[in-house]
Amino acid sequence: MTRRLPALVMMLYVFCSPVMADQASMLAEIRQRLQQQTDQFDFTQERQMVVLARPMVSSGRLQFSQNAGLCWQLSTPYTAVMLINSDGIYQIEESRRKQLMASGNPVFETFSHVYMALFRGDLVPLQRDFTLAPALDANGWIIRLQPKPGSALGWLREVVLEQRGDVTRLRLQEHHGDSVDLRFTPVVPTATGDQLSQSACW
Amino acid sequence: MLVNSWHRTLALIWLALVLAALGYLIQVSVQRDLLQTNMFAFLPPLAQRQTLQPAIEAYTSQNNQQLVVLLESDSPAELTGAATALTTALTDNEIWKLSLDQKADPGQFWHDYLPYAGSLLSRRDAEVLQSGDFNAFLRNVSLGYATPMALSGALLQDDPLFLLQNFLQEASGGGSVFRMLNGWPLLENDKSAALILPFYTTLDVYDLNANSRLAGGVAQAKQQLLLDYPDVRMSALGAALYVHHSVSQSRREVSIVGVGSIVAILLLFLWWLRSPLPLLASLLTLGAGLLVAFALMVAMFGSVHLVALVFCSTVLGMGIDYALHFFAHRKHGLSGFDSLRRIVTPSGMGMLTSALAFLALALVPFPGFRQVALMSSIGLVSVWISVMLWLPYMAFGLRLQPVPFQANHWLNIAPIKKTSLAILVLVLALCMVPGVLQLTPQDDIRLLQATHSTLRDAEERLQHWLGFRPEAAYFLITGNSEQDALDNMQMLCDQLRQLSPVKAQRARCLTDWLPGPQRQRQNHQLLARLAQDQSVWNGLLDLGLQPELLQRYREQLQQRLSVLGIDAFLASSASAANGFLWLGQFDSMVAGVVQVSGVGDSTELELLASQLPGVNWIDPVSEFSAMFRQFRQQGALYVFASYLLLLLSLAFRYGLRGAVAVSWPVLLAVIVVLGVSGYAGLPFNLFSVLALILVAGMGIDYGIFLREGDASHPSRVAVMMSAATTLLAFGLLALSQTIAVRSFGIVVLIGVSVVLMGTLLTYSTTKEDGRT
Repeated sequence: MTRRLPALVMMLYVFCSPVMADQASMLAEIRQRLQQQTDQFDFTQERQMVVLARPMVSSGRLQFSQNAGLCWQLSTPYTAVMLINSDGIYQIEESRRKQLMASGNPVFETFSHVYMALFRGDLVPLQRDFTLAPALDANGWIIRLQPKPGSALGWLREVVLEQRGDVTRLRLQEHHGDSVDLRFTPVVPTATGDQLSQSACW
Repeated sequence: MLVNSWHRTLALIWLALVLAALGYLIQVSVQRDLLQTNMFAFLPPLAQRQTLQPAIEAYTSQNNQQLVVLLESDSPAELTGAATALTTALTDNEIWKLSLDQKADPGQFWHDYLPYAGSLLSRRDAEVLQSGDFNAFLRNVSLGYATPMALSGALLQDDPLFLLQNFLQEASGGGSVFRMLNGWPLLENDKSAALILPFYTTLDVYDLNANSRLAGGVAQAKQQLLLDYPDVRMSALGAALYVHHSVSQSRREVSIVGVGSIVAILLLFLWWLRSPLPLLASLLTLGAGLLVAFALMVAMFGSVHLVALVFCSTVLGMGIDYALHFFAHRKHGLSGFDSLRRIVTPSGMGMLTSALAFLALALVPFPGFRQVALMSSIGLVSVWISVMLWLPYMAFGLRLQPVPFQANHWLNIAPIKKTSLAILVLVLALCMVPGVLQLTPQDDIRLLQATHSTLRDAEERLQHWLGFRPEAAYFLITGNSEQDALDNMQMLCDQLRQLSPVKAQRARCLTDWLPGPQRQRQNHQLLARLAQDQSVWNGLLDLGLQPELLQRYREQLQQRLSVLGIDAFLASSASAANGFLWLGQFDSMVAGVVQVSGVGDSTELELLASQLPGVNWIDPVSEFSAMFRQFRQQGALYVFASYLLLLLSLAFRYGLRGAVAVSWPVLLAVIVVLGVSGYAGLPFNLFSVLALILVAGMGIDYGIFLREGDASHPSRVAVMMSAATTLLAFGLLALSQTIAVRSFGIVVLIGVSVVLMGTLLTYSTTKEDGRT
């Protein structure tokens, strides 16, 4: 209950706010905020599944490029590099790409759309597969995405995109209980001149 | 008088024969189709493929019966509505059936494959397990759970190590290209969406009536769809539509050219004979002759190939020449029987030499050519008999007006000295030599027919959405048993991947979905070894996987091998998209197909096929093109041989010098046709050779008539008129869009002109002393 409290408070605040903008203007505002963010993040993924005795946590760094896609550099539990672009997901080993999933796969299509929308800042294209319920306030925003009836995503209960302060979250809930919680924290170059690590994908 | 009485009796017998032939044809046409239109039936089965022929035919026929419809729009929702409306319209009269199970449960796929999970592995997993590097295997499993994509927990309960998921994903080429929307397979890109609807028919697409219904059904459905869904773009592809297009185009061209030439010939007859009746009488007489020949052919072969019938127009052309000679003499004031007496010998000579030449065509080892040879020979004899027996009666009492102006002017070519003519001919022939050397024959069967722009667009649209357009060439895989054939196919597909990864992506292998039994046994052994390695299972427990679940899964892997066989595969939902690649049992042979796409040079693939057991590279287009080349070359020899044959048969009557005088224009025409074709880069193919045979057959008649008629005025007029009608009837084919037809027309146009000029010049020559 304590874990759900901040969300409930925020929802109440959102629904009672005098600033009840319409969906389009809210999406435009969210877009503006997202486009101000950096293109490199540290991420933590916590996956809870019936087949797992305990949550599986993985973490690493993520870099976004408008043209080349998303580069996931996993550091735990194993080190690995994965690239997501419009053609599919690739595992990169010794500069060689192995395709793990190709475009056309409904899961890939949905999630690559979600990620690209999130990091490009343009959430409107998600309306093709989902019904969007956005809400925002001065400290952040939240969008609940529910699969449209008749789509191939019937097994998904909900996807929630949220930003509070610096942290962006993507939560995914399946109907039969499995869930994924991804948190992205921006990586900012320090004043001492630390350079961001060169991407392993491009 | 006695002769007249005999003639009348024979004419009556001929009438009885014509009526009997008509009755027979009516009776037979009720039971079956009298015309064969399948181009491949005209060609011989490929000799080296005799044992594979049933499998090749089964695959070809299966392909021919498919129709693929592509619907494109910006709105997926509109597409599903259009798909439902189109399917209802197309399947309404039951000539087309939808080969897609809309109610198929996508989850069924998984359930169909799950019992065989112990023997199915993706290539990537098999490689890792084969290497024995279980750490790498553990890492892959771990990455599976750490992927930033969603995972289906329901599937992982049966497949916690992703092995079956990886297999199915790899089989589908990395992922399904389709997204199911309301039971329809939807393809999408950033801008628009498309639906691909597969249909099939059980009708014979080459049957003209059936084809008209099949193509008509598609056209009607498209028309309605465009009215109801103006924003949806529809493209359709299928053998039925190609056949319909070819037949319609030929019909359209033949009717345009045919009507054009009939009108022109009619005007020519009207101008020359001042009456339409001679033409009517001639056509009726010739029609009767052809009817008897056609009935004889149907009685012998069961049906007549369209090409044989088209070639018969040559016979019609020759027949009209006999009639023209008849009327030329009638116009000169002779009676019907006197005119007949004047033409019976030259036309008989012409008929016999041409029939002999046509008959020699039967030596070409095309089954269709045998029909052409017999049909032409029988037709020519029959038409000649008809002209000789009926025309005097048909033209009885016909008054022919003399031409009101001095017509002799345009007939009298200025006399030329024999030596001058010989030099002229020699120079012309020598000028043609470089052209002959530049001649580039065109035997590619695909270039012989024009593809409709709508069908070409449809091909491009489908390739755009699917990224795969099966070639006409393919691998045919055979074996003594199903297991044997699948193992052979597996070996081929493995080799294709090693050969070139790019090519492998473009190969459609059934073994991606149904690995060969040997491969499945190897997979099972790898999994059994994995199950026995305690360190792997400890590692999996460390990853956090449920211990009970892992134990259950481990026990399953150690169970008895369960091989996915062809029957189980064909009963599974996966067979809907790939089952057509399995052809089944043929006598003692089992066969399947591997399709390829984007093959440029097929040498590597042919070599591969020759090295692997039970693998055959089937390239019908290349093989038929090679056959066309072979028969074009043989045909050229045949033209030469038939010219010699004509020369010899003419030498019997006219002596060698006389025979040369009659026939040299034909030889010159052949050289000029080859030379001009070479200089102008005109297409030269099998159909050009066939046209040369026509030129030879008709051209020789011109010489014979002038020789026998002593180059008299009526003979000259008749020869001129014959040439004019031939040029009008066949020369207009040079305007055709179909290369095969155009080649035929061009050769006739050039050839007949040269023969006519040559023949007229021959009989206008003077000796050195000035005598003609």
